[in-house]
Amino acid sequence: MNAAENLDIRYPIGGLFLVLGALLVPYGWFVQSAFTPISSNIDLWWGVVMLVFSALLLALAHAARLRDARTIHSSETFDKES
Amino acid sequence: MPALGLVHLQWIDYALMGVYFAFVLGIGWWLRRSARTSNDFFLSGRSLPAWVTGIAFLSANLGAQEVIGMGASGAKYGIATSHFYWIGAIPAMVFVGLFMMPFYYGSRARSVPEYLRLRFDEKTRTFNAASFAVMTIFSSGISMYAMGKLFNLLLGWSFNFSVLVSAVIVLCYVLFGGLRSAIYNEVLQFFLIVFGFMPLVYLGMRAVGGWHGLQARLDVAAKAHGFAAGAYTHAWTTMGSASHNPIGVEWFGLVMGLGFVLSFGYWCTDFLVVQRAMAAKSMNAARRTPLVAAVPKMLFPFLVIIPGMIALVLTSTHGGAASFAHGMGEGLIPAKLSASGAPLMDSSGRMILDYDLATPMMLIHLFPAGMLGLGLTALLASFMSGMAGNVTAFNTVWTYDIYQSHIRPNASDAHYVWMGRVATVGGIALSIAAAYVAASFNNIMDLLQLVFAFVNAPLFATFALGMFWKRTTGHGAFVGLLSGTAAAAIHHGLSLPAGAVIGVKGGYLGVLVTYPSELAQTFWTAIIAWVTCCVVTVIISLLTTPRPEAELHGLVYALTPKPTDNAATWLQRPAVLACVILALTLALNLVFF
Repeated sequence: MNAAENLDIRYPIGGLFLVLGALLVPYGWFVQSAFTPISSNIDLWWGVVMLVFSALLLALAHAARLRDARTIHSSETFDKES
Repeated sequence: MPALGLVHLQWIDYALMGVYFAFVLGIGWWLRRSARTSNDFFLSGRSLPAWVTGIAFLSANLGAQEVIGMGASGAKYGIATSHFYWIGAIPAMVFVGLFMMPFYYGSRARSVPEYLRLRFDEKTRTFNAASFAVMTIFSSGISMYAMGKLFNLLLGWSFNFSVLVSAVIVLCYVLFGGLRSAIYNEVLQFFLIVFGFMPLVYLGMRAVGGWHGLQARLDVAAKAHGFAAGAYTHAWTTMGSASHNPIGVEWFGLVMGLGFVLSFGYWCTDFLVVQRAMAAKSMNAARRTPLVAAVPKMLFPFLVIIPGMIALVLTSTHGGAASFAHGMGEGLIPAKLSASGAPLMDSSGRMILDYDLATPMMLIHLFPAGMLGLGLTALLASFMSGMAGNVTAFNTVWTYDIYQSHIRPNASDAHYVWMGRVATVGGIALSIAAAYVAASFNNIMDLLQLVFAFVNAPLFATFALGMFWKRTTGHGAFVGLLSGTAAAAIHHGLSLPAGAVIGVKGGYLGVLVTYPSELAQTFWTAIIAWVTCCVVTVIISLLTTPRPEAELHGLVYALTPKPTDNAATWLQRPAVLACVILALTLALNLVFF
């Protein structure tokens, strides 16, 4: 399997929501706040939710990559010992 | 059509859409080297985990018809629309995962029609492949047409622009990375749709005063439409008789027609969805694919139906851009207008509402700039995932079941990958053509959808008999399919929904039966087709010579070793997962009884 096939789909989805959240939060904070009270500023709050979701996906993908790297590493050591 | 709630987007809305386009194309570009062999291009190398294929299984079906159509039905029928999920999808999804996937995946067939060739014969396969190929082209064309029309109405974008841009983007990412790229994008689109519509439900619910507020308002609406209070907010209590509920069908027609024939016919035999499961990395992952999909599927009514229900009772508070120009309609839903601009009335003097605008009007009405961009991007994502689902299923069926089996049998693998890419371009070009046909002759599309309904209705009988009765023969299957289709056409021709005009709605052979609604007619047409196909297949099979049992290993239930569930955790065991899903679905039905 090459690098392209190994793409963990959680990276691009996490990336997409990171950028979407990073656009919505400042827009809510600086622009939308002129029209709506902060409690019902949906741009701001939903932007925050999307950033949290993005962080979760990226963390899961990262953890999976570390785990895979460790498995490959330990199996290599095992091969040498045997 | 007059410009309705025409909105002007802000830079932020365009920025969000642009980001989405960039990611979708980026995934295709990243995967461009992953589709070298035909196995890569058409089956994504059978290497994907169950959660990815599961979400794609759901997302490929989550086209415009679903998001817009289920919102429209929510406004028309209320919470009873969830029967399309809890009765009309979940049981069939559980069945295909537990009982049919072992044959689809285990037989190593590369498509659903190919399974029919392995099990029966070439003619049954070709009949299924040809009707499926034509159907995918037209459904992606119809969805493109709907999108072009909607974005023209909402944003004033030109029809040509919307159709061409979305077609070119889908073309690029399918061409680059084949099925893997389509599936990865479907997963991304799924999350975008969920995140785009969840706040709509939240804001809508807040505007009507929560579920109790919605119930109170819908009770008033139900009485105004001539039903008992609660007809829009209970799924089962008014199902005793067809005239007591807005769907216009009684529980038997609903459970047999929708819940058994149509639902199993779609979820268990349609290659569009089954292809996603075939791309899974193992038999266990393939069997779990529809089960993983069933979990979000059972919750989808809250995401796509509730906005429509709210749209019926939410009044425009601040007028202006969000209200409809001519002021005719109910809630946020505008009336359909005649050419002269007067609202259309039905035979009982009630306004005919343009229900398809229920969800889009909610988006425009409730979302501020920023969220509106996200909501419209979610809508675009649903159009694209539906289109890509159709295109990837089409290129596979065309290449394997038509081109390889009838036009060029013994070519190199590279040649079939090339053919798959050409078929992708051709399929999208034909879909665009179909969109323009739909734009100019609306009745042709109604007619075509009718023909597809006739062809599809009996399919599940053929597959069920083929998989679970080893005596079924190819001649039996083929004649059964043809007579089921014919029976559907004859039944449709002899029946008419109340208030309809003879023609594309039925009655062209003389009106013997009148149904209270079009859906009731559709459900009963399906039931008749299924029963006919079943009976004819059994009779012809008994009269013809069966294939020797040795040839049927891995294709028929009795001659295939049972898959063993010795996975580590309960979440990985299909049977356990299936029981949990069925229990949750039952609970949902009871809550909204």
